[in-house]
Amino acid sequence: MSTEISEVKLKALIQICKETKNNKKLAVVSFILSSNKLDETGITLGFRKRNKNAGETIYDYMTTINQIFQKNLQLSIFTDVQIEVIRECEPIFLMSKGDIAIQYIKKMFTLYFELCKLKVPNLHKEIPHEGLTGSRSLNYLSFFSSNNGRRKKDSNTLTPLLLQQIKYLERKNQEELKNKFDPEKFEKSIHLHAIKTTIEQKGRRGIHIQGPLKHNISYQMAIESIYTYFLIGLIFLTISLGIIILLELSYFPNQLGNLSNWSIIIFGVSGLLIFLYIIQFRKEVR
Amino acid sequence: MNIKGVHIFKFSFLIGLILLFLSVFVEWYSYQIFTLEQELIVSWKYNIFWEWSSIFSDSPLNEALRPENLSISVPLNIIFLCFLFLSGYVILFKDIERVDSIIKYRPYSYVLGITLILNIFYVVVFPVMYLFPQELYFPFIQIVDYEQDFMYLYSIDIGYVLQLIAFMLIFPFPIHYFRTIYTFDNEKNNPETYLKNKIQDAQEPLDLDKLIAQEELKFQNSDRTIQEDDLNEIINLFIEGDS
Repeated sequence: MSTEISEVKLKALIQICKETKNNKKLAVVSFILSSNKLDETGITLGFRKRNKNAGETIYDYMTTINQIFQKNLQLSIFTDVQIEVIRECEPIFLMSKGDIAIQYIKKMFTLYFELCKLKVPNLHKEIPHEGLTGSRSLNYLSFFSSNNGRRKKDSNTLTPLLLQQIKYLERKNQEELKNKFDPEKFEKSIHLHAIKTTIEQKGRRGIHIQGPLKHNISYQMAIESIYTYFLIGLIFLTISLGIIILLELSYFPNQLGNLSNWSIIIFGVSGLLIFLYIIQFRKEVR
Repeated sequence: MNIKGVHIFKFSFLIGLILLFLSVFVEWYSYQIFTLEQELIVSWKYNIFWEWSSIFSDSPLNEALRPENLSISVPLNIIFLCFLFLSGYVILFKDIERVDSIIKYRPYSYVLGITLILNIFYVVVFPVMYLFPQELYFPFIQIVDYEQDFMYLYSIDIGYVLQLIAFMLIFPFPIHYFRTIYTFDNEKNNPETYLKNKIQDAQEPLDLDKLIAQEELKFQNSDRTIQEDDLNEIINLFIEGDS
């Protein structure tokens, strides 16, 4: 259900409950909606859902999230005012099982709408590499690639510079956020932190796509490497045969004359194939 | 190279499978002795299922010079044949390019991988573990013994050659299949889907339409007690959790 539709329905419910004076229903709805919104916020930020079964209150959940973000980013997700509202309303709601005064319900709905406005970035989302260290699709091709090491080396050279820049931006953002909360700056701050973590961890993940592979451009680029696999297969085969013959020489040293011809031919072919492989990759890099 | 290019390697993989299948039923190694006048006096051919066989069934010299059995594990050969059929099934009916969710295709990539590993096993292990201990040379060796006027010919045979050719034909496709599945896993590890499911699991059910309808009924002086019971149930569920 879209946010707009939910909002219209909620307004309709508030209206009708006003008419019927059913504050209890409004109280319950306000708490459920706020709880759902908090779970959504928490999960989007990479946190677990509220542990209702263990008796974790909304207040506990909000303060835990705030503590974690204070520790990591020196930022608070929820304002002191919001936490104060929950600290005040939640115990009364729990004790009276929904029978709370209208001023608390109003506070809860205000809190819910504030939570809806809180735009939090998805910390599960992978940070695209394109903007950082080159094309991800091209990195895919580097599984057996000879230039993999070089690319890695380049990336290693850039990493400290990138990290320094990100840390600087992150600090600047945090200072600004301490003075005044701005959802956009907050989002930027979390993204910077996520980018920093991604670079530091250098984690390898798959390319996430939607729909059949045959329509995917990364896949079509990746197909090119199947020729390389063919070449690698041949290299593997000739080197294996060469090693078998060397082993045979150790078994039967008296057959050196016969076997040396075979070993020269086989290692010669594997050398030629390795040469072709290098040429092939130089072409790909260009 | 477009997607059609992959089909060439897919086809070569199929040809490779056929060659591997045929290789199991033909001779892998040949051991022959000739006189210096080029007369064949001893001939033994090796097959991985029925060991050594000869065209000279009643020659005492031929029998006397019979090499020892190599004893390649028959269950392993049967497993190899099973994987050949499974790989054929995967290649014909489990096309990763046309599906939306390739994550389910991971087990098939293992099937292709195991077939390739078994092929490598036969190519590498057969000479090292089975031929050399029996003093059978690899790949082709001709030894002339002038004292006995014999010429010994040791050589790999069509079965082993088919294994080598098949290796070249099949190697690229399993690697491509495996790499594609592990690089383009598009469902299980998709953060968007994962997040959406997690949020959905965490949400307390709240049917606003139902609540509105109940209030409207109440507004029209309908049965109030049922609605109160419903509301109490929702409250209890919310406060006490799922347990």
